[in-house]
Amino acid sequence: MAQKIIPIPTLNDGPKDFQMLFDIWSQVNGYFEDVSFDFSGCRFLRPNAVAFLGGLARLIESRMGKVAFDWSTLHNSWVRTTIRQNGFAGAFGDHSAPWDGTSIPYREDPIFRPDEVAEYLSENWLGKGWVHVSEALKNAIVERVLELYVNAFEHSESQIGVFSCGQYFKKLNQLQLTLVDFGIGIPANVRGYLKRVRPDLPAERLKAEDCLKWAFQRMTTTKPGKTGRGVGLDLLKSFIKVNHGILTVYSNDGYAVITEGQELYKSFSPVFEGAIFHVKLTCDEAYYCLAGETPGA
Amino acid sequence: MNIKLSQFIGERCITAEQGQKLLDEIQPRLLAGEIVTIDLAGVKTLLSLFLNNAVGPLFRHFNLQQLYRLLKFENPSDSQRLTLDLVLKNAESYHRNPAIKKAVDDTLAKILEEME
Repeated sequence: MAQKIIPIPTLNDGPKDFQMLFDIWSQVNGYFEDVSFDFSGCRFLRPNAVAFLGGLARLIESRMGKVAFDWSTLHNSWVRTTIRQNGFAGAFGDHSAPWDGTSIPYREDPIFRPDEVAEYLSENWLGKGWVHVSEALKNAIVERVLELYVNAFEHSESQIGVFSCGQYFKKLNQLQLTLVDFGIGIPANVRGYLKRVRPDLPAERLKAEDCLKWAFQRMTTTKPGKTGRGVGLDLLKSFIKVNHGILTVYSNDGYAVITEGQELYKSFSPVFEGAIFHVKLTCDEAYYCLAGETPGA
Repeated sequence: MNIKLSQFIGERCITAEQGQKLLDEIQPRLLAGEIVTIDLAGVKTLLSLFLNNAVGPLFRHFNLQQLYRLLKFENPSDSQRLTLDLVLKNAESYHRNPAIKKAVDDTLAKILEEME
């Protein structure tokens, strides 16, 4: 198969940027692909893009393809420094070692190693002193975000695991973390579940926005089993709302935005097989509280 | 019976397997009518998956009031208290009121019907 040269554009974290990422995915998600990613036109790369591109590269490899990032095309010094600092470049053949800075390490979890992920969140994401919170609150934040990793490994059916990356943006005073999986996606999961419990209904007609909204409600789960489930996402959602954060989720043909003031669920195109959870927290001690406390008190 | 969870499981109580280990330890005692106290001091991470597996199945034998009387959690953080509360109430509804689960599933069917 002829090698595909895929340009990586400047990538921020708005809906249009995710559309561009999904366009790239749609070009290379077959089998036996031969892909070279070109950075010539890339002047900015947010952690959501780093996590996505890293996972996409492993997806291509898992489907017996070949993938390379053409480092000779990486001219933008900010992008070069950032992806060397967070270890992404080193993970894909660049001869550099990561170092400590405002980047949070790019991370691949082919299998779930809960203690390691908890340490990553606690020490690399929260523990750098950007967010001045008590130990108890740090543990609480780790608990809430760790629910996302558990959710991904429990439900995504990803064959290659989960990919994460984060960043501290000093000018915005904002901490970001993105988790990506290339599994079946939340709407597909929900439609499949309804098909199993109600085969008489046309589950394929459920809109992505309705599937996402259902998945984020308390007590909903596509894996009832013997123990009962369905609180992890609800706990995270409550935390995001209380602490003035933003949670954006893209999955299949839908997306959700959860903030203090609203929960927005919409259908989206293009379609992407998998799920992206994009968390933004403000690094202002006054914004953080545990339930029952008053912010800033 | 007193269990110091940070020693019995560890600082991070996360997985279904860890939850099962705790359930295997406490269920026989609870079924025998013994009060079990779980000390959460030193537990940094307590996730819903762990709790669903550790205490969820207990609702096949007990209701919430009975469990509140027999199973005590000491020294939870505020965050852990929230998680415990949500998991326990959710698990009770799930195990003891099948109609609620059906109602939750029926919301999907209802959405489809409204589209017709």
